[in-house]
Amino acid sequence: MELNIIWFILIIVLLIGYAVLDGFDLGMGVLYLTHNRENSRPLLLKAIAPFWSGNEVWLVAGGGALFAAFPYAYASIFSGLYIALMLLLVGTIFRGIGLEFRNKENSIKWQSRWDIAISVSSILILLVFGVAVGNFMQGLPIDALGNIQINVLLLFTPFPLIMGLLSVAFFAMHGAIYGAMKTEGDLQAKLIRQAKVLASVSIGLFILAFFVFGNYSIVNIIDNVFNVVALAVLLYLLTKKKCGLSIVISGLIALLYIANIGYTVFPNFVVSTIDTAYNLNIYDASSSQETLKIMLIIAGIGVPIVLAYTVFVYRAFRGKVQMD
Amino acid sequence: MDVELLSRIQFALTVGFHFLYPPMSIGLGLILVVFEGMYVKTKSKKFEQLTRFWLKLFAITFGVGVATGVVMEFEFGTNWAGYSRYVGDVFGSPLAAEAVFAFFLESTFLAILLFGWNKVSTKTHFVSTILVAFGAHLSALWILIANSWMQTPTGFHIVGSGSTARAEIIDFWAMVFNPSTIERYTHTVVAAWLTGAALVISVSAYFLLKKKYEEHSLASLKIGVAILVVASVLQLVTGHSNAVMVTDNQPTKLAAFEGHYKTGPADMYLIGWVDVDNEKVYGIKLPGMLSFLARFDCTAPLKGLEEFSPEDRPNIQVVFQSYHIMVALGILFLAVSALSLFLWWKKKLPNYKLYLWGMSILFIFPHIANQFGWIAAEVGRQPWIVYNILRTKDALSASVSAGEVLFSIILFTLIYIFTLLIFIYTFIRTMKKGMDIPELPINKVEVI
Repeated sequence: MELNIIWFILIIVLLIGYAVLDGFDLGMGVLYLTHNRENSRPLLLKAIAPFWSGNEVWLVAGGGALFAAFPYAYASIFSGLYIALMLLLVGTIFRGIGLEFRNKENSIKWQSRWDIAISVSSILILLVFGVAVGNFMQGLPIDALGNIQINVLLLFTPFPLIMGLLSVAFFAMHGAIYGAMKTEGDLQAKLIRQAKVLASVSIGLFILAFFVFGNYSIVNIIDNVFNVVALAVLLYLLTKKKCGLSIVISGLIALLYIANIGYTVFPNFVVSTIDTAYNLNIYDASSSQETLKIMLIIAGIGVPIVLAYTVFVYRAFRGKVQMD
Repeated sequence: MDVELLSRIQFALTVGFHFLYPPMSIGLGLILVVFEGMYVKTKSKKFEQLTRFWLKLFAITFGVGVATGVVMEFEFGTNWAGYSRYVGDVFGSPLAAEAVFAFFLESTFLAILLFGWNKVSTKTHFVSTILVAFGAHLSALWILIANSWMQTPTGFHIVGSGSTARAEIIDFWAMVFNPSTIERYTHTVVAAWLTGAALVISVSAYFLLKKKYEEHSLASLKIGVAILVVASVLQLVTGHSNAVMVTDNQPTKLAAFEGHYKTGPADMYLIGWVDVDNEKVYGIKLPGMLSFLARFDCTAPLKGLEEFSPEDRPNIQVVFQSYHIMVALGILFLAVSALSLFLWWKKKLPNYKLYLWGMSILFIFPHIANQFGWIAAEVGRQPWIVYNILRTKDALSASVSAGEVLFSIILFTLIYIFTLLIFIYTFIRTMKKGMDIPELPINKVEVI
């Protein structure tokens, strides 16, 4: 297979890694404020504390890999979506320091303010990501020189907004399932209830996005039928409290959906709404074959090691979380 | 203001704030390995408590470092699209390698350090500490490789011309080990050790002044001093090798360090002011000393700024002053090292209040040296973003307006100041809460 195609797939894989892993701690942030400050929130934080910063590295690795493998895509997309990117970064900073500092003081004021920071920034990140993905599916006004000139407000048109809401709802569900897997009793029951509501909302949003976008290719139809069926199965499994299996399914939905979006835009990174001749594809945007080869060696050595110790650390912290 | 200046301000601001934290994480990483190593070896409660205490402070530092650092990975694309397109083929891979080889390692094993005391064996915990410290050092290596390539680019060729021209890699290892990588990496890592050591010294001195955890604090003070002594002496060596390297590779930067205008033997100033208009320096100088440092010969001629047209020179005043502040602080660290060693030898390290007071603010000075050293290195590279290859003004994002950059500068300034204040507040609170030590003095606990 061509190196350009391999690297397009690897970028999508990194994005999937970020979505599936950081997705559950971001999603938990969405629901976080609906839980009791004193008893429940510390447990929810404890459930994600060992993992969130490692999960976030998938985003950084994705950014680095895009820079190295497809510098033109990296440059055009990030400079073109400047304000959106800044919102994303601000969200990431606030979430990071919120998670870091929330439990450093016992005062109610201190904790509830950081709680708001954690929750608002998690919602912001998921929303901006969803909206960005929606815009990539629709296409962007990229010109002959590879510059995207667009007012940030024009990114928030109906379809991208549906994708933004889908992102928030779906990953909130993903997070609730993760939380249910790590807790017991009333908290677990509440998280399962929330996950069920969000699963139903997600079914509606998947269907809505499907018809609004109007791509009736076989692959897209199959994937969306799968989404609906899988979410229905998930609703059943949640009734049976099978959280472990449920999170595998929600992870699988995210994986296939992102892969489907990648397949839809392939071989382009950015489809131009001005003229399809200006599309930024995996050949025009890429680094030299030599760099793609070097990067493949780096990924070939590095990623298996990363996966090995990630599994080790997740295993070390398996099981339910309890108050100290 | 134009997009170029605003983009430079934003990059300097974000990377400057970020650069407060990684040197502490790298230095404290090393110190944690020492503390926990002592604990694993001797099973001493004292070192276990020191490890747990410093781990808390390390975690805060690391967390803020991560939060402020994610920005950097994206900022090349957002504000420097021209740069990203031109050099991505060469410059992107070390950044990606940093994430894959180092950042994952640190972030993942940090979980074991913080939350794993009861989940894994003592040995596994210690190995995780080593891996986190190793990851921090490795992370700095890849970043310094990328940054050094901007200073002394090698291993590539230029393909295409005009707006489609770009640098493409021809030799990965020549890029990795470009002429300044080793010198700049060693100088930066030793600076980080010094930063960590100074922080440990300051906190220990504070406790000794307050007569709290005296036995612990004396032990940590000694370890801090030992690392400070080694680091400040090593900094003489790496500082010198950097001067030689800069002489060989970046003559404009070297000339700017000392305001050396006329080609010929070069002087070294202890303190001075550059009269940029008249191309003169006023101050106290050691004649021929720069030539001696660079070439071991006081009369060796060095290229002066006169050989470069004004549009190829950096801002001389900024580079000159930054460089001299860094050097002066290097000398201060040597003096502090000598004094501390003397007191240690006399067994009077914790005896003098004045010494302890001084030491309790020592932590600030490595940060000042780090910031100014970095300013001297990076402003000294200007007007090039990649030395002699690509000018900074040609590296910008065409689709970003001055208004947008101004907006993000204001946003980042507010957030980074807020973050710093929260960091300082939390660090001090955590420090004052102190160590988890049972009521009885430590030596009695051990007897029981």
